[in-house]
Parts: sequence; structure tokens; C-alpha cells
Amino acid sequence: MSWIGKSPNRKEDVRLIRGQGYFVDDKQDYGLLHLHLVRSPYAHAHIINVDVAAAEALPGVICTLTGAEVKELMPESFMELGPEPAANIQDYPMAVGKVIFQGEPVAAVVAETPALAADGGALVDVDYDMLDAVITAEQAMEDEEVLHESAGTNKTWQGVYEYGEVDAAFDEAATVVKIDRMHFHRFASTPVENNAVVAEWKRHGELDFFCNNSFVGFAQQLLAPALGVSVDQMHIKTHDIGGSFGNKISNYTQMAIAALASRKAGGRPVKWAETRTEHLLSSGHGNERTFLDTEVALDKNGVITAVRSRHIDDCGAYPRYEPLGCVIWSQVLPATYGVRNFRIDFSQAVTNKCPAVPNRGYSRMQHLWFMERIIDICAHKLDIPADEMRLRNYITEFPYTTPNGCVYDSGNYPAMLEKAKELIGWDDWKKKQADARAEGRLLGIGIGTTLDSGTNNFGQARIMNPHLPFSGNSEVATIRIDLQGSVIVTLGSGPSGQSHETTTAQVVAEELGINPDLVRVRSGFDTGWNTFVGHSGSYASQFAVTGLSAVHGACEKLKAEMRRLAAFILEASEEDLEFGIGEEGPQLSVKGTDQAVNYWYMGNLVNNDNAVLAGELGDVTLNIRHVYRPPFTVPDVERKYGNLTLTYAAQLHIAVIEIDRDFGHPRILAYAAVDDCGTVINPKIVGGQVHGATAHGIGAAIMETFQYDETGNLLTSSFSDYCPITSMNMPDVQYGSIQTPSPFSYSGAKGMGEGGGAPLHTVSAAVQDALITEGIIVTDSHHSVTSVFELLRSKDESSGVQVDKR
Amino acid sequence: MAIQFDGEFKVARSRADTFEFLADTQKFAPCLPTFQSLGMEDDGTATVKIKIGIGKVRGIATINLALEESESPTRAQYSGKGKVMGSAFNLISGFNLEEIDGGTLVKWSGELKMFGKLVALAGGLIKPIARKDIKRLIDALQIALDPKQAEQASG
Repeated sequence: MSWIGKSPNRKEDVRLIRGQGYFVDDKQDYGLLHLHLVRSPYAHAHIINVDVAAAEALPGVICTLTGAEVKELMPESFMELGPEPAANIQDYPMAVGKVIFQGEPVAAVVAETPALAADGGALVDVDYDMLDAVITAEQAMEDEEVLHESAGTNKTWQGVYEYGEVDAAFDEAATVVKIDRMHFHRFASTPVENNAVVAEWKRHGELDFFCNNSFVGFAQQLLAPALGVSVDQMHIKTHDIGGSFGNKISNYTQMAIAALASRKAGGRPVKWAETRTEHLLSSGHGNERTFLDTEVALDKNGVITAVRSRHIDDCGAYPRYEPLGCVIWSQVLPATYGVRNFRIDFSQAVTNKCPAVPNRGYSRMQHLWFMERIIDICAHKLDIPADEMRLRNYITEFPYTTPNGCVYDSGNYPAMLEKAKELIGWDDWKKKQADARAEGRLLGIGIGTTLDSGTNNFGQARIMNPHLPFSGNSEVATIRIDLQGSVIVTLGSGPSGQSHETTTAQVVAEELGINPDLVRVRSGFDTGWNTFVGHSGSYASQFAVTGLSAVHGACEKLKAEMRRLAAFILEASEEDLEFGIGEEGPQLSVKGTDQAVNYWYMGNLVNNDNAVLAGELGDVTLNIRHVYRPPFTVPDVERKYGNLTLTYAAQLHIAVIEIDRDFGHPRILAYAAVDDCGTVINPKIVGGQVHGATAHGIGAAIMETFQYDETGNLLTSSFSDYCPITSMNMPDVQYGSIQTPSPFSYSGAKGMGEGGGAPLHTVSAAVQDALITEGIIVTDSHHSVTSVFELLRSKDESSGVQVDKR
Repeated sequence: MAIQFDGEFKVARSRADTFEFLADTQKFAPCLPTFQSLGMEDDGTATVKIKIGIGKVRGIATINLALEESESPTRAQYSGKGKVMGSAFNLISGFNLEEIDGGTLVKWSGELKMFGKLVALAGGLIKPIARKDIKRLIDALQIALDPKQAEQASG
């Protein structure tokens, strides 16, 4: 029986649905202390004085930390991934001398209970001298108010991505469409579990973290030098994580504060568990991006031949990991379309807002939204139906090398469109739309085609900063048969809800001819236990390709050892052996006979009764480490050219939306989502990820936004204002899939889960289609009642779109 | 979040008397709505405590209030910096005085800037509440400056 393509019950659910999950805030240690962060109410201000005397005098308060102390205790500030000027930014986990965003920690209070720590926090007296806040990236680019003196500018990165013959394509164009300005709004995926850490800086110098960081391999590289310890002295452990969506990659800053607090508290363990408001205010937001002076060249058939544009990314107060976002979008440069000529001038700037962090669909969804907007705006302006416009422009031959050297492995976008139309009842809705328009109602049908470029290989890191390592996307797994014959697997990545335990067990079961229940995949991640590489982690939709390829490779090596061992035990030829399950459990047997040896016997022989193995079987350990290394070459940094991703899953969504003409309320009447992630390992898990990404995208499109006022106050820092999507707001999703197996992964699977922000593109397209009768062009990604009402109210104003027919 | 405010009222007092009242921190500060206490740091600077909050989110705000401009008898302006519950606010409140028949015309204007948790928690409620509190301050000043007229006006 094959276990690939089946949906066995999730192994994780055995504990999670019984309330037996183990999350950071569940941890209780003897002597555990609690940390409260005092945060700046100002977005931009000099710190004149921090007085902690009253807090320290409060009974139950053990110690406090200020920014000045943190600077004293840290041998160096955190590394910024970007080159100069970003590299010159002094980035401490607590504000030193100056706050750069509202909610930035300015002091910490450590106490016997969380309540005492909070009470102590209220007694910390901070004097500020307020400065003008820089709220937009365009404003930041002017450098009138420089946020980081050490950088000397707010412009942290800039690069021009030019491919093909752009000017010639514009000279030859039949039509040029110009779009003055588009804007992708700021939001984040708000995992159910906030950031949390327990840190214990032991007296003998070792430092333990129990945390929910989702990219431990990266975190330890930043934490070790900043805290002045070796990587080996630092032990980072995770267990169950209640979602990350990339957000938890960047909680290493709070991990550092907890570690320093533990050190100051004499080595007692210190727990910090973030509140929801803290999370929304200061843990990390998705990138906000503005697209300026966009020009699109089209031929006489409505085929796009060139795009030139200027993009400015707002990375908030500190770039940190973020300049990667300046490059990572180029994994999907032409989106799903065959455009060969591009010139994109990309800049990133710091502002007095919460730092940007990776967020589901990271950096690529902004660009994919931009390309989808181009498609729809051009379609409307040229009077070409949106579906036909896409069919004229889709890439149809695979593998396809993009103008910047990325290789799209496989896909069939027209088939996905056809399937989505079938699911939603396209023809019926077109008739209903015609009727609605005749009645003066605003009903729109929108298509969004998008990509999930799973398995990013960090080639973009090299392009962004030539001094950074190029990982090539390797990943590690171990597998062993233990003393009792159990199959134990550890992964290089720590999952945060992606069902790694289940899919890993399926792959191992498939390879060994056993049942997934017989495979134990260790939960969580432990730097002391798991084997990993510097970029191991759960991000970039990569696990099905890199993680499971590592598992597969480890299985192959284990099977080779098991064959040698069983052949020795059974005195048979390796070729005559087969894997399976017998009366005494998992075994290898001699084909056509009743001779067999089970895993317990082999495990015991290797681990216990092993003197007999001296000689030619001396190297058999049944304990395998395998590093998967995809065949990437180092990108050409000068040309910004190279293959940055191994697989490209695709999503195609269609939405039908009716807009209330008086109030602007957008109501989703029907929604279809078609996914292609190549060979599906577990349909139920893929379906769950598609639904989750769809919910996140719809929430972002119609509800969620981080709205700042002109002084840098975040106005949406609680769930009553941020309004995350819930089941009450979620439409029924008609879900379907096609499978175009990837030629580049051993199983044909493609990385998936981020979803490419498909609902954002789709909802924008549907709102556009609904409002086009009013002459309105949609140039923003957020479609709340208020923003749609504003669109309707200002419909007489210029749309900022010009069409030049030649 | 910034709120600008302005307006005017008449009082049956001389301009000099009116100025003397408005430029006296010890007389002005108790007119702040929900005033709790006043401690003078020096002639023109005081630490004032007022109750502040919205709904069940309430606390005592500490304001460092300073008489920033004092041009007898035509103009007085206060500036204040306050802190409450992880939030902060900056206040500027100025008064221009003009002589009119039978008294003084007080033209008032200012700006309240608020930052932090309270703004986020109160959301859209904060502007109307702040405007209401500003009206209460002006009403209190009017009553203090001209009790009879205020009484007649009220009824």
C-alpha cells in the first residue's frame, strides 16, 4: 500500500486535540521569574532618562533592565542582513537613547509573578523628548528626519532589476498603460500563539532557551555573537508552536532580553509571554509596498511585452532580516505571465513603524499583487475580459526560465482557470452580473493567479549582500533504528503547525513498507538533539521538498544498511530481501520464504549485541544523517540573475463580490480556490493549508490593516480594531486541485502553504470589476468597508491611470 | 493622534483680571476636568494629577504643566506633558485676551497630542471624549472667571 496521496489522521492531533500540546507558556520551572517589557508610547523620541528606582523597590521585583544596560551587556548589536548603510544600524533589543517605533521596549522588569512584573513596569518612569515621526516610506526617502544616525540615511537598500530590451519594447508597443501609484497595505498573519520564551543563563555559562522561534538555525547565528556566547553554549528548544507564518522568525530580539534578564537575576529562568496587543504593536508586521510610475507596454493583442516601475518598500524601524524582502520578490518576477522585459527600481526605507518581518507570502505576494493589478487594469482599459487577458499572457511551456534566471518547474495555469470557473459556476455568475448591472447593483467577478515559490535557496541573500552565505537550500534529517527496533526520525526544521510529523511518517512508511503509526517523528526542535544546518527552519513553503527529500535520502541510506545487516543475519542475498510488516512487526524478509528478521532484532544487534558485527559490518550503525542539497548554482550578483527557487506551486482563485452602493460594504457571494502543488503527499493537510492561506488572504483583503496616525500611533493594536478574520467572516470555499508534478523534487511535490496571497489579488480584481462601471480603478490592496466607501465617494477624481494608444 | 481646538467666550472682568487668573497656574490647573491635585515646582511650573480614562480603563495621569508664554495682559499659553497607563500626551493651550465693552473676550486655542496604549484602546472614541473634556475645561474657566454670567447662561 502506498502512503503518498493518503490522508491518515495527523499524528500531532493525538496530543493537540486532547489539550496535551506543550507550548512555551505551559512551561513551569522551579524558581521561574516573569518579565514585563515597558514600551514607548512614542513612535520617535529621544530617551532623556529611565528611572527604575520605584520599580526595583516594589516587593517581588527581582531586577530591572534598561536599554543602556542592555547595550553594556551585549558585546555587539544584532547583525543586520543588509549591506551598508543598513549594516551600520545599531540594533539592540531595547531602545538605546532613542525610540524608533511605538511599542519599542525601553525597560524590562523581572519579578516573581507576571502581575508583579507588570506592576513594576507601571512604576518605571521614562522621560522622552518627542521627535517628528516618519510614517511613509516616501517621506522617509527624503531623509529630512534621519531615524538611525549611524546609517546616515533612511534608505537602507536600493537596486535596479533590468532584464531584456525594455526601452525597445516600449518603442514598439501598440499600447502603453501608465499607473501613477499603487499601494500594498501593512498587515500580518497573527498566529494564535503570541511570541514567548523561557531563558535560563546558567551559572556555568550555558544558555538555554525554550521558545517558539520558527527559524532556530538563523536565530542562534544572531544571538550567539550578540550575547557573547558560542553557538555550542546556547541550547535552543521548541515544542508545539501555535502558528508562525514567518512572524516568529524575528522573536530573537525578545529572546535576547529574556536571556540578559536571567543573567542579571542570577541565572534563574525568566519567562516572557507576549500579550496580543504587544504582538500587534511590536512583534513584526508584513511589508508595506508602494508602486510608483508604473508603465506597461502591450502589443496589439493585449499581450504584455514590458513593465517598468519604481517600488518602495517600508520595512519599519529596523531592517534586521528584512532587506531579503528587497530581493525575494524577484523569485516571481513575471508572476505567471510570459513578460520578458522588466525594469524595476526597488528601494527600501526605514520608518517609525513596527519592524517588518517575514509574513505568509513574504515579499512575493506584494509583487504578485502588483502584476495581477497590472493585468486587470490593462484588461479593463483595453476592454479585454479578465479571463481572456490572462489566457493571452500565461506562461504555458515548462520548465520556464524567467528573465532573471529563475526556473518555473511545472504548471498549467489555463487548466487551473478552467477548473476554478467550473467550481464557481462562471457562466451563471456572468449572467447574474449582467442582471445586477442592469439593476444598478455593483457585482464583480475577480480572478487571482499566483505562485508559491517554495524552497527559497537564499540566492537572494547573496544578491542583496554579496558577503552573505548561499545556502543552496540544503536540509537535514536523521533516521535511526533504536535499541527496541523503533524507527526514530528527527528533522532539521521545527514545525509550527504544518504537520511535519505526519507527512514525515508517511514518507518513511512508504519507503520502509510499514505503517506511519510505527514511525516516531520527534516533536519540536532541539539544538541539542536535532541535527541541522544554519538555514534549517520552517519557512518559504519548503518542507515538502527540502525536508522530505532529506527524510527520503536518509531512508535510502538506512535501507541500504538494513539490507546489508539482514543479508548477514539471514544469510541471504540483498537482492532477495524485501521490506514489510510480518507477525513480529516491521521486518526484512527473504522473498518467497518465511525467513525474516524484525527491526527489534536488528536494532538490538547493532546497539547492544554488537560484537558479532566487527569487520565488514562495523560501519553499520542504523543511525543515519542525510543532508539534501539541491543542484543550485551561485547567482550572478551583478546581473541579479540566477535560479532562486526549486519549485513553484500555483494557486488560482475566483471571487464574486457584491458591493453595497451606499455603504461600501463588500460581500463575498462565492469563492473558489484551485491549488497545484504537484504531487500531493497528504490531501487533507494540503486542503487545510489552502483553506488557512485563503482565510488569511481574505482577512487581509477586506478586514485587517495596521493603521497608523500621523504621529506614529498604531490605531489597530487590539483584535477589536485589527479585526482578524474568523469563521464568521469566512465564505464557503469551493476547493479543487490539479497536480503537475515537479521534475525537480524526488516525489514530484512542490513546496506549498504560503499561498502567494491569492485572495488579495482576487478580491482586488473582484472589487475592481464591481466598481469599473463607476469608472473606479483599484490601486490599493485593502478593501474594508471604509476604504471601499472612500473609493465610491471619490469616484469623480482622477484614477491615476492613463492609456496611450499608438 | 492630534486634536486641535479653539473657540472664544466673554467674561465680565477686566482684561488685567482675566489675565491674572489665566496666567496663574494655581488658579488655572484646578479647572482641568477631573482635577485631583496640584504641586508647584516653581512659579510657572506645576505637577498636576487628573483622573483620565475611557470606560473601565481608568488611571491617574501626571502632567508637568508649564506656563510657557505670559504677555500681560494679552496672552498666556501653557504647555503640558502627561503620562498615564503606558500612554503619553502633549498639551498646548493658549489664551489671547481682547478688551470689549463690559469685559474681556477670551480667544482660546490649542492642541492635544496623544500617544500609546490609550489611543489604541479607545480607538475612535478618544476624539469625542477629548473634545468633551476640553469643553469642560473651558466651561470651568468661564465659571471661575465670571460665576454670575455662567449662572445666567446656564439658566
